[in-house]
Amino acid sequence: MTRALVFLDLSEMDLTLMRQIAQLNKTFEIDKLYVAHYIELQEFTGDLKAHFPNLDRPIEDILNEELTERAQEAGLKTEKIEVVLFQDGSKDNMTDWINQSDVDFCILGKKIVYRGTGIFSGRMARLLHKPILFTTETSRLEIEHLIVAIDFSPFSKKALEFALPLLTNNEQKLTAYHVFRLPGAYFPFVGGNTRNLEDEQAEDKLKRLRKFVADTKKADDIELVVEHAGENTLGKTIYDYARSHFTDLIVVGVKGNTDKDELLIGSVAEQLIAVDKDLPVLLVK
Amino acid sequence: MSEKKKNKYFDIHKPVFWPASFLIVSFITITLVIGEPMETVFANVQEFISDYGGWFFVLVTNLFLVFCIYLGFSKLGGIRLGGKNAQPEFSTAAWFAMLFSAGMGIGIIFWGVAEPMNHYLNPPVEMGTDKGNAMQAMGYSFLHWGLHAWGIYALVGLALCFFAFNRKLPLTIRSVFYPLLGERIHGWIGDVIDVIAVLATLFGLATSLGLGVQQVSSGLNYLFELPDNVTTQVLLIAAITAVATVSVVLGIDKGVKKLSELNIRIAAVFLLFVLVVGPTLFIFESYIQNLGYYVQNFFKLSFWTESYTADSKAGWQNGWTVFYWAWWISWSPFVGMFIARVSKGRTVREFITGVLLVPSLLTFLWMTTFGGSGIFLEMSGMADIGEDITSNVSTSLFVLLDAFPLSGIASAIGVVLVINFFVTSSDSGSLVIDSITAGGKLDAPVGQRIFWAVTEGAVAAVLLVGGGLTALQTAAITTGLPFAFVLIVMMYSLYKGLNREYAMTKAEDTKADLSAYESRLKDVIAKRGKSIDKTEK
Repeated sequence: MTRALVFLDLSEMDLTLMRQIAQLNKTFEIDKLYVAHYIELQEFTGDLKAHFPNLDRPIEDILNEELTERAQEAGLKTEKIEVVLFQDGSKDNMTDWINQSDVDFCILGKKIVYRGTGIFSGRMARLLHKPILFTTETSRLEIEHLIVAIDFSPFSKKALEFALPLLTNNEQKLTAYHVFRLPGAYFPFVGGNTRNLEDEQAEDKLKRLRKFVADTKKADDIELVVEHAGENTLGKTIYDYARSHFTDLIVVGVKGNTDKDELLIGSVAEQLIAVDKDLPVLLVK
Repeated sequence: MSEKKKNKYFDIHKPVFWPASFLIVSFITITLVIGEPMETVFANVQEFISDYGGWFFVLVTNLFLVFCIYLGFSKLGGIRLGGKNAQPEFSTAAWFAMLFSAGMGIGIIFWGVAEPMNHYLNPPVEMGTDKGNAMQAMGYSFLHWGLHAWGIYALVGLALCFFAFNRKLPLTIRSVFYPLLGERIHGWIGDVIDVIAVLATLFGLATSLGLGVQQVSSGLNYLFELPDNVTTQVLLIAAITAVATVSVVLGIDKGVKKLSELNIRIAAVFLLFVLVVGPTLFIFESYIQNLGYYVQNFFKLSFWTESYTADSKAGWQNGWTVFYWAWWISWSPFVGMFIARVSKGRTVREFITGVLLVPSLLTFLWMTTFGGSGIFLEMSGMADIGEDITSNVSTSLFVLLDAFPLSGIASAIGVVLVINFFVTSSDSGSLVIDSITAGGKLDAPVGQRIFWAVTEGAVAAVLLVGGGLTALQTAAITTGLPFAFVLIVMMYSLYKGLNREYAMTKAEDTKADLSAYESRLKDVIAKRGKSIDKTEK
């Protein structure tokens, strides 16, 4: 039983998202799709009816109809789709509801081409405790090759475990990927070739990575990759690797928040979901 | 502004124009009436302010620089001057060129040779060896003409640019205090601020003009053996001011703009000339080394206050560092307004990096070329120019050129350059003062600008009569001090303004998202819902 939740905002991105969900559905069956919509108005009085006084039926009905129709583009049966509307006021309402629901993961569209500011997706990334899949207009969600970023923490273990069920046939490939940086202090004090030091470290890290994935299912099928970040940020290194290896999805584990005011999700995750990155990213909390 | 007077020749903001004019005219009258004894008065005032306020100037200039760097590299650095969608009016190359030209002027021609030579021959801290003294001399010259000077200009320029183009307030100093005073900037507090700004600019400019005319006089003495005395200097001021007035009458496009473009070209050729005929290799090598020394000793140099110096040496800083800091502060409205006007469309970060680095590096090259060559000649014993320079600083450029080929032509070019800079400084200075005394208008009538051009000349002349170089330095220090306080408040005000801009931009982004959503929602409603109004029709 997989339950997904997708955020629709009535923009053109909605259809793209639905097509992507249809792609996802090919390898990974979705049993229930919640369609979440957030009604956000500039001068809102708290009463929807008062805001749209001249309508012959409640605005909720209209939205329900529209969103269901949009969701059907995903090729799912109507009974699998459920529209949930949230009203303006506090976003906590929506995040609370989602966090307490039986949703397995959320799908969020980042807008590059349509020029949204990304404020909404940034907020959701911080406040939701569920795994979130960030996609873009240009993403393709037929997942043949996915990469899990591993930093040996329990969160990356969780990410790995979450990613494994996404492999449903033998064509698919999973890479466990670790990126490291040599501590800066090495450079002035170690004579000789830093290249050797890098190789040495890489070997150590590879052993550690092998051990890390050893107790998971299908451990033998997982490709192991270790890279040195060099001058780039960690996030950029992961992203570049993923791009150049035709990866369809990056999975990264982040510390789930217990505190609502906590505004940080970790710099690597932040770099990966930055607006200008156009690979889908799955944040697992 | 209801109090302005509509007139063909004058369009003034009375509460600023009259007090400022009154103070300046009284100053001129008093100095002329008292005559010779004023020199002692000037010397005492200078000594008093620098003895007791020297540490304050050292502190605040450092503060201004740190503040600018903070602004450039904090989240506020992303704010665009002129609004989110403002486009730079000038290409980056042109902008750099204009910043370069802002750094050029009478000052570096006058002090280019004299300053490093003076520090070398009369070191602030005895280094023990000639090489040490030479290195230190270049270090202090770089300190006085480098990042700190441009930190002050960057602060004023950024504040003016931000409040004029983002907040659409008049381009005058009082506008900068809007976040603190609100509409009261149009009241008496604003008037007081502008009067201080006018006085500071005028005296800072007069100092520069005074130095320039001393140098022209020395140059003419060198070339044609005209007597080098105060009478010649005053006559020269009268003559050059007359030329400046013509340039004022011709207007910006025909007058000052043409002249300053010409001037920058002459200055560039002049610099190249000395680079080639001078010790070329030494200049390039020492430029690199001087930069390294400056960076390495940056904090030591800039926080040094002469505290543990023996009495015989004490007072060095008063005549140099304190004078410079006060001078830069006093004419920061002048340079600030210029860089503000050319920097619309840049981000705060671009502005700070550009304004701090571009003119500094050029000035350093100039100082190394002229001053370094002087030190090179003196150290290598190729020419003995030290004595002439220390006895009369205004001759230093000509003494240096004398040691090189084509010295007659070069000195003549030097004189032309100073005269030309005098004219353009006087002209653009009148423009700035004019704008402040007209309540921020940029196109005030010509009559008013002639008035200010003449006043600048008169103040410079009177200062020369009343005490020469000391009087010039006193003028800069005395008006620099109150304006330093204005700048401190300006920092806070600018910080507040930029922070608010930052918050507003963020809120606007959210608002844009919301209205885009609302229009989509309307489309859906139009498609699906029946409006009751419509059915009734």
